[in-house]
Amino acid sequence: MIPASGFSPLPVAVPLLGAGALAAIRRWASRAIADSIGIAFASVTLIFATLLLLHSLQGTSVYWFGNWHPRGAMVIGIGFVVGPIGAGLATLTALITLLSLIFSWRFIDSGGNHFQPLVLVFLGAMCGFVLTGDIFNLFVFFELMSTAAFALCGLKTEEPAPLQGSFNFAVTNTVAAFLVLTGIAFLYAATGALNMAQIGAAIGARHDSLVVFAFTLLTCGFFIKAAIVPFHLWLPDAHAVAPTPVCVLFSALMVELGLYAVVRIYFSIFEQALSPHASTLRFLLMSFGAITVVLGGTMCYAEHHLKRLLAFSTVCHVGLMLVIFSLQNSLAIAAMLAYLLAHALIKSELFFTSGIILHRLRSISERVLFRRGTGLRGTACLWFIGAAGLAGLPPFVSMIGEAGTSQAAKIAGVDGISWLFFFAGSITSAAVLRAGMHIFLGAGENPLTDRAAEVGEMPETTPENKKIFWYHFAPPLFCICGAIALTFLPGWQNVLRDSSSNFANQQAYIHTVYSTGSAASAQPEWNEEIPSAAMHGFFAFIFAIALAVTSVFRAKLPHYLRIGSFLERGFRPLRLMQSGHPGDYVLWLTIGLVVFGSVAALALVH
Amino acid sequence: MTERLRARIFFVAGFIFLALYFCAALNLPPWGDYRGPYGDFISRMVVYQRHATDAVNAINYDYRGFDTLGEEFILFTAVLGVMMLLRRRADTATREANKIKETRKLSISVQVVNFPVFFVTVVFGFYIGLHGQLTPGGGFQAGVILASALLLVYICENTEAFQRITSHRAVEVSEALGAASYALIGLAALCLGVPFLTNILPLGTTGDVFSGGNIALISACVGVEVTAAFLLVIYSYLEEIVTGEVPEE
Repeated sequence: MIPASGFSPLPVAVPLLGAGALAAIRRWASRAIADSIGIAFASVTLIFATLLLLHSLQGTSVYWFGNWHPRGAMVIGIGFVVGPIGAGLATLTALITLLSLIFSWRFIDSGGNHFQPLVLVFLGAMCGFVLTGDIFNLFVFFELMSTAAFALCGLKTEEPAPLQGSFNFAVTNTVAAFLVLTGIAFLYAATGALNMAQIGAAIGARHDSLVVFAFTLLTCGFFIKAAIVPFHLWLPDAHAVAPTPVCVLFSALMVELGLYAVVRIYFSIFEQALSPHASTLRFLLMSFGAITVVLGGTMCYAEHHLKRLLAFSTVCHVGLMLVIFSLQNSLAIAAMLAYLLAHALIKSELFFTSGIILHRLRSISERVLFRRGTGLRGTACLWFIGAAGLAGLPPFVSMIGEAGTSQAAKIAGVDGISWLFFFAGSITSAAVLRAGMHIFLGAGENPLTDRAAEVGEMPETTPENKKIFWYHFAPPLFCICGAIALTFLPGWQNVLRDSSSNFANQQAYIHTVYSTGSAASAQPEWNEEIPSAAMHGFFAFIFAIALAVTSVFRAKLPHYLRIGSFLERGFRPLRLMQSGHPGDYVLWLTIGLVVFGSVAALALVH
Repeated sequence: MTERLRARIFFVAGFIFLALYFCAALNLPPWGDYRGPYGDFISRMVVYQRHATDAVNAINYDYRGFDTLGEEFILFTAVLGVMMLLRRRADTATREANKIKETRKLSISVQVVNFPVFFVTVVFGFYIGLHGQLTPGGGFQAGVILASALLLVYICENTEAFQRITSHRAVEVSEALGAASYALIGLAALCLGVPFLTNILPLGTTGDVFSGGNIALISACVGVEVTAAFLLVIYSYLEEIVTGEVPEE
């Protein structure tokens, strides 16, 4: 019998094997058979990932591929570092992917059974991405993930828009791959190593221009994936055109994994080197995060295309996660991961619901849908509950993330982060509420709109069958129940806090890779912050309702109270930034890269 | 944003980027000064540990074989994506495109020359693919050579034979199975109780074709996958020319 740590490669190998098998029988298999095989492989992956997670609770294990154990300090092969955080993310990935496959069961156009093998490749790549401890292997899975994502994004080839969205996505993310690869090349030239622990040990406290530039390249490269402003421009375009289950995978998993890579690389390679300038670095990361929150939130409220609206709310919340990470203590990492978990569940739920709306009402534009959803009670409930979750209303698990952040901010001595939480929660929640009031309650009159929403999206399902089945409601319901149940399951929070203290500690990480197992150290609690976080969430939701009301009933309000409709009209420079031209997108990300790089070079070197 | 403004801003930003790049490059080890122990270790140990004389392939298919599994699946996924994006839906109406079919016949001399070249290319492809553990080459390179051999068939105007071979479903199946079998080789090791992608074959005599353990087997699987992948891509791109049909507007 293989010990449970022997399962380490299976969350990658099983879906890849499944993708190969499915691609081989693609032409002969009926839709139902292809879907069942896809779901079967995703379920097996979920089982192995869960077993791995349970095993990793006893301590982080290192898995050397090809049985190539390191010789002294030199790593020969590729290693997976399977800790509770990596295995937990792999489990979450497998779970959300399984839900997406269930949601698309004989429902979403599969492009001649190309969809299922591509999703399985995507799943395998994401699992490899979170588990690996080797920076080149990380890049390989980054590329594999991107390749599958480009294809999935352009699944609806009958229209030009998906191809354009997919093209912008491919161009910007290929630039990201170049940046990451160049960063890896610099690190390899300087240290002769590809294993992150070995690189980290070799760099030590060195922070010359080479190390800082490699840090810039790697961080900005993964910021493109993580959709941090101004690297985010591809994301709304890709989400607007991708089929619903793919949007779920992008928004709930892929974008967050970009940020996860930044955190992983920072804490395994650069922590010690950049620690003399920790406060400067915090300022730099926090600025990028705060700008992302504000811009993402503002654009979210100004969108009237439901998927673009949700996409910008993802930008906003990822910015928030970057702000949490910028606190740079281990409790902040635990809080960030708790928030990531909450966001993944709630955003999946909202995207699934938008897929149901698109299926039932054959449109995704708020103006076209106005008053057309008044009969859809179940869908309306799901939509409004999702809005409450975005605001962090208790008992949603997002408030745990906020509580952890308050505690971590206290330790770091930073004020004002709860205002960012309040802003992000209330404005994204208000945008979702506003759309819901228009569509399901038919409230107000003449919804505003914008050009991007009027492009019109072709439905992704066959027109004859507008019926809806339990398996369309099951995935969003499951996400909601999960997001509430996690609040009342206290055990995972302790595990998360303890494993974060190892994750966010370079010395502990290096020690783990070179020996086996490591002791988790105890962490400060965040329970005392939960009541105030719950309070904040409650007020954010109340404020969101108020904001949505000033938008929906703008005609009945005096001019000075029409805050919502003022925000809803959007800001011209921000809309122009989102031009849809890949040249502009590359320009913006170059500017972001240069700004980040210059500040880092001036402030962090010596 | 106008083209001009975009270009100007980009040049300023690009210049700063280059400056940062240059500053970083100043701290690189000097030219020719190899610091890393990894290369020295591999070149000293590879024959002893793997019985393989091509250190690069020993790294690709054995020491860091897991990376190559990912790389192979990148190709697999890219081809799957291309086929999906360029797919013809079952309900797409097509019409004959006469212009494409009516090209002038090539001279017989091209065909006469091409015929031996085709066979030499195929033999060369197999040689490169099967000797990856001994000399530079391996499955990726062999696949490209073998696929280009079939392009020669197309070039000497034998479009019918080209179409028969490349549009065959066996190509698609062998592409998928070639990719999957890499993962299966890794899983086979797992079934024997050793880590994923550990060598499970006898290492053989150094310098022999049957040496290097897993390297040759994986290389062969990759060769099948890459050959089929390139054929699929070539066919997807040339489909309209080869079939002489274009989708109706």
